[in-house]
Amino acid sequence: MSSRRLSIAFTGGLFVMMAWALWEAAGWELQASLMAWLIGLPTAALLAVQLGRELLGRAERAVPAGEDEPGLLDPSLVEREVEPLDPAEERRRTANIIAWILGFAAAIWLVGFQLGIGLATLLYLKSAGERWPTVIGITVGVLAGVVLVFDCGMHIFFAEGKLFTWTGLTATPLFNSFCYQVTSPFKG
Amino acid sequence: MNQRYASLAAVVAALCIILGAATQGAAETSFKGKTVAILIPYSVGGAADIMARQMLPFIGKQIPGNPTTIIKNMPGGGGIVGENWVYNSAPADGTIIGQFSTSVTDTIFKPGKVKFELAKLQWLGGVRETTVTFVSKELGITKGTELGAVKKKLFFGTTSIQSPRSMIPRLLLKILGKDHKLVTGYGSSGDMRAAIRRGELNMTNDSQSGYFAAVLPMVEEGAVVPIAQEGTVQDGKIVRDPRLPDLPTYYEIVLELKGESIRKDPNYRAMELLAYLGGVRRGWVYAARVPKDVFNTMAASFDRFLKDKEMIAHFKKAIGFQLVSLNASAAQSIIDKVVEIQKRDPEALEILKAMAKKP
Amino acid sequence: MNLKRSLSWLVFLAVLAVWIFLAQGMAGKIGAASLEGFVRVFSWPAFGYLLLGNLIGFAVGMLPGLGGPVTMALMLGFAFQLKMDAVEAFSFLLGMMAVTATTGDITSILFGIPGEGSTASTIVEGHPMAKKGEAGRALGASLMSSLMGALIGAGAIAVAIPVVTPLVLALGTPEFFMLTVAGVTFVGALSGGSVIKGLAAGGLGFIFSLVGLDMQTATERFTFGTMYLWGGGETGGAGIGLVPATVGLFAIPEIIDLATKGGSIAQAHVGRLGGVLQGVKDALRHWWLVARCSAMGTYIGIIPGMGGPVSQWVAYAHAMQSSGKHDQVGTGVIEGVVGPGAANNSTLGGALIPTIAFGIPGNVTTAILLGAFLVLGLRPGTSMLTKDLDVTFSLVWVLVVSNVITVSVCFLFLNQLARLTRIKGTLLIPPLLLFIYLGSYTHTNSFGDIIITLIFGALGWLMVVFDWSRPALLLGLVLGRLADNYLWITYSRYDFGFLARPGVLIILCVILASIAFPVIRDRRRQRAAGNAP
Repeated sequence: MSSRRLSIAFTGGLFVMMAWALWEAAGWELQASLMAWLIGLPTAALLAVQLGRELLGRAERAVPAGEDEPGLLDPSLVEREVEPLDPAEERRRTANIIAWILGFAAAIWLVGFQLGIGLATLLYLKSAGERWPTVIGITVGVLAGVVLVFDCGMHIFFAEGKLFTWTGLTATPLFNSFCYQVTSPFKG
Repeated sequence: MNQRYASLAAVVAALCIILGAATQGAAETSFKGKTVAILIPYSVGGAADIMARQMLPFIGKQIPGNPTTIIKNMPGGGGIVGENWVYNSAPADGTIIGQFSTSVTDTIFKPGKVKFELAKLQWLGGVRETTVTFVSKELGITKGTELGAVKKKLFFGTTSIQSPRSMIPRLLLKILGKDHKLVTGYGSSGDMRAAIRRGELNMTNDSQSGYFAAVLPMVEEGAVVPIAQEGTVQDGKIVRDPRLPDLPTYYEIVLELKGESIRKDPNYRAMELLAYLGGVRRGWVYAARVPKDVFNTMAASFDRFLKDKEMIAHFKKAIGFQLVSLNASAAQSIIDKVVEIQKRDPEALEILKAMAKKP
Repeated sequence: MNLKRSLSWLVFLAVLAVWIFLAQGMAGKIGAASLEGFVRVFSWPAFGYLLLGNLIGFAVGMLPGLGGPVTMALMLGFAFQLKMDAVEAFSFLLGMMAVTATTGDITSILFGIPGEGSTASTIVEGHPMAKKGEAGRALGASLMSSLMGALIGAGAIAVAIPVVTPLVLALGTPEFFMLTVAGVTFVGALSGGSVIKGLAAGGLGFIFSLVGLDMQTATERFTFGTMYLWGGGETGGAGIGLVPATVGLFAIPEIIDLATKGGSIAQAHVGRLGGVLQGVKDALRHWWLVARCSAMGTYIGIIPGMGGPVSQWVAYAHAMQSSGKHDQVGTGVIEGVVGPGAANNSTLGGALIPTIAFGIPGNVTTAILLGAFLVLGLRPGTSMLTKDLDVTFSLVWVLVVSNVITVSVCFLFLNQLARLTRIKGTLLIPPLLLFIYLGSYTHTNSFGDIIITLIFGALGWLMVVFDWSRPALLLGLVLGRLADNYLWITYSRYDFGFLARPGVLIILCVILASIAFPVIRDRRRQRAAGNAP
């Protein structure tokens, strides 16, 4: 699909979502639905207009600044370090990072926040081809940040990972005892 | 190379501490070495949260084994998410104490969402508070009994039509046959105080803490007049709050104007039910699954905590009035009464449910 | 242009005259209290607590996982335990809060992740500058404007004391409702290329804000039967949290961009001239913009429920609009860094005004501060403007001194901070993802927050690709819940009679003008382009 078609699909998607919202709001009593109608109707109309313009090919292209505006700088002082990518490589990298973003979330869901972040960091860095000392250094740093500052320090409520609840195990007492050990010297 | 060994050493050290601590924790039977959390079903920084954070230093020292005490927040669903979690999913070893504010009224106004049974919660203790209704000086009245004679249109403000706090004054107006307009949607008591100042509202009510903190200066200034209070439940009866001995309750006002026969009116009975529903303003609870001996230990700790002179002095300074507390059995008896009235008087209950839907 | 200048001067002089008229007789008292407040802040141990507060606030602002209000609530307990007196406690708490918006901008600019909920707007123009290798300049400009904004906000407290009643109580709920609509229209119409898309994005944001359990009628709106989407908080806040949505909309697309482009955040290397001093000069050069944005920030702070999350975007839209570079959105326009940088700092000063004078907190931060007031035996109200005026002035001085100290310290190692943008991207991505997820997770401490971040991340990324206005959507989300409540209060109190209120009519004209202006401007430009090929 061309980028124009994708853009139309996106606008269309927003319009459908808006229409659905209005349809849903129709079932509510006045107090709950007043705002949805007051704002939703004009928004749906605007989206319809935008969709029509795009379908007719009349959507104004936002005029991108012809070149990066260097401000007060002399352009000769700026040296480009990164070469433009070819589209196939760009697509591959985009898919890759999206997978990792989801992977981090999945790890947190499966084994809990602290262990999940640590595990995902380790795997990500290793797959990015980093050397072991760097990998372990950053992983430990990330883990220490989460556990010491947020768990022990601020007592954020970290839910148990699903893998633990499924198998009837628990990791929370481990972290609790760890925090107790760490914080006890500071208590009178 | 150095970095590698340093990192490895750190990992090993961390693991050792975790393992060592875990075995030690398992060997203890009291709360020694454990972490006891008070679970607030609301966000950090709300009234419930700030109160619990002030309590925290006083409570830990009363629990056997001197455990670490912390606050955990689990906001959602106006408190229901956290309440459900405490009842159904929290560890049953007594390390999670729920601090509930609206659990009692939630069972009435949000049935189907609530996944706990009021009668089965184990109450460790709680605090009593009244609520106060006040009117703008523009109305020209000084007493609640004069409310029926007000010429101006009444604009009564509240956060939501479901707010239990606002229902008693609404019932009062209903019994007095006084026409009024219910203005809902305010985010907080602060917003309503501002609305009274700019003439948008001329009547609203506030919690006791809110009244002492922010309304009293307005009373002294002459901007508003307090006219009635909800009262608190003591030995099974509704009485004036000991901290506001000169302000009549809604019930006294109604009885003075309408006579004893009004006691049979279902609207009056609904008013009384509301006072019992609010009897434990904030309570600390265990889930039904927590063993009885753990409950007894903790209930005794809360009893000591609530009698702690230092704690009482702190709260007097902090909230400007004496904390009136309920021990485990007092809290439990109020809840028992709530459960009993609901069974005995379905008519009053239906009135409240209807008020949550229509002004 | 000349007319505009002289008009603004005229307005300024008129306001000054009114103020002098109202303030006469108070001048001596204000002077004495101001001096006393100054002395109290600089006495020991208050000053030590101030420095400690600044240090904590510095870290809290920088770290996306730690929000200012949350940390302040935690520190409140600390202040009680140490038995601080009023001025000491405020030096500590306000000293912490005062600098979070300043250092939060740093994270926004460097990494494209908002350090605080109120610093997301500096991402839009500030982070592209970092990518161009101008991180130092963006940081310099942002810090300088933050300082100027904080000073103006603090000054506003002092200036407001004699005129506080009309200032706070002039507008009623109907006007607040119109202002929420005006805010979204303003940002939707002026901050991006297409007016239609901008307004539609704002409208969508309004609809997103309705997700949750409506506390008025107990209607479940767009919750798909999940309890997570009911929303949290004692008064039942929005189902879609501000932080998860902000982080998703702005930070996730930046992570994708960083990983896709490869290399480091800075895609280009700029010599010495791209540095901090240049940014400071930029902020000073745009002093008039800074002043206007600070004034906006201050007044938005006074309005209940609004605050930094709102003022930053209004200031951003105004800055982009007045710079005449509205067609270069997201390319690193310096005005778009300077304006919001000033506004989100001045907001705190504004929010303190109704808190001090009437005990009416404007937002979460001031609600917690109000809690501290009460615990420390201070009753907000007229006594804060008479008997305890020195305490009030100590608040002003805390704001001023904290920002002067923090900004000065920041300047010492800004160049080092800017160098972070040259670290290899792969090493940055795990910590950045940690902060993204942790920051959103702390909203309700449940996995739902992370799912919201992912959904808004996808939406944000698509909006970047197809050129839709993310600021308008986010501001709609921030203001929608408020607008919903204000609308119902207005309707149940005044019926439709509210439409005849003069304040409402004036704001309506402003809304119409802000829609018409860019349309007319584009027409004219097209015609001009057609005439002179």
